[in-house]
Amino acid sequence: MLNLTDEELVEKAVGSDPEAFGEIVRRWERKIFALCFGMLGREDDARDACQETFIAAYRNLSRFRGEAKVSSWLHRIAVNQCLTTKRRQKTRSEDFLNDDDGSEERAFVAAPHHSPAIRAEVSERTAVVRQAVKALPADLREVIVMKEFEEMTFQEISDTLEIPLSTVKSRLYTALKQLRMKLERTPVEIL
Amino acid sequence: MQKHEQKTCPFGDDIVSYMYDEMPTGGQLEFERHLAACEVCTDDFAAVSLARFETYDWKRVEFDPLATPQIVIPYPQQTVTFGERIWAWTSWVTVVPVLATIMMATTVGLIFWTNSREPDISQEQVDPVNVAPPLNKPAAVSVVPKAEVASNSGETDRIPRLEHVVRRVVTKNRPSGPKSQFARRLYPNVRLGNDMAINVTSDIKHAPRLGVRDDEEDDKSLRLADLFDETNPPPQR
Repeated sequence: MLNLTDEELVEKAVGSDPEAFGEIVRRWERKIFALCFGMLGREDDARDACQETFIAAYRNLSRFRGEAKVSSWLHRIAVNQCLTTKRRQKTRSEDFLNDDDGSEERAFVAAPHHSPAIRAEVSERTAVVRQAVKALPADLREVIVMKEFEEMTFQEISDTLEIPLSTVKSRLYTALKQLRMKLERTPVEIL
Repeated sequence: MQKHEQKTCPFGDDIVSYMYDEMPTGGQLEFERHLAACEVCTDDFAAVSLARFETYDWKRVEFDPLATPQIVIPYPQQTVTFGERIWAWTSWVTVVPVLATIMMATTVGLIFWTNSREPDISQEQVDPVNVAPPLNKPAAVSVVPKAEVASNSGETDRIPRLEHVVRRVVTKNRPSGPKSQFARRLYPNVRLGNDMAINVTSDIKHAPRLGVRDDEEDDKSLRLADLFDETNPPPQR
């Protein structure tokens, strides 16, 4: 099962093989969760959207015709699910007079008590990310640190570094793309 | 779903703006419509989102549990004397309002203390006060010849000479003053009452002239013209 490609796993899942779809979920769970987190900005909302994404994918396995990659198919489902979630949140905030002021935008739920194996995986992953960020060029690394660690806006970074706003965005985009490539080269063994 | 090159996608640079929620509302809706239809942008967005989440997770695991360090800056200690502390505490900003308050309180206290010590005059017996009547101008000025004064008073032997005829100014309710005392010293034979005064300045002005013989009937003395008047010999004395 581990040696099969995504498309082969989908074919097995369409043939009523629950383990095949389970393998798809295991391979793409974190990436889809990251995509949902990137779109929604909240960890709990991202978890719900990720859950809904895989449920929708399982229900629509028969519609997958192999014209696109599985990753793109899952990404599309996740994006649509996140857009639905955002529209629902917008309607809810209007109904309840904006009781959610966005102060919990970056809040995350308390991490459950993981097993030692999962804690070891998390520790290994953070070490990999640390090394990847450290390997970035200085001008790209400082933008990531300002944005993620200091939570500065693009305009504040532009004023601090005295560079144009468009340069800040392009630097951050390049930094994240390079970081993604470095992480792909050193994948963490998911337990 | 569209498939095109990254260079031709006009929304390539907006991925990070949308991801960090720093895109205008109009552009956000347009980008969402494009993202739902563009496979390249969707995959690109997923890749960037994963890199961002890994960074976020790294921060959450390693940095968020760290306690915020307490920054202690070793400022150089300055020795401040006691007088400097007092002066710093009692600056003009403090002293002026305090002094003004003290002055106002003292003034108000004095006013109340003074009012409390004054007797109630409505309860006391007050002696009547004699108020002098207002001064009146002389009701009339009469020029009385001395002979008439003498005839009226019957004191012909003490009548002064003609040139000393004075005008008596009678004033009512006029107290004796310096002018009356001066008149007594000047004319000791004339009795002056408290209600009489003599206007000395008008004596000479109204003195009878020599040619006027209005006292001819009373004057029995010998005249020079009578000695040479043969038709009318002087009376025998």
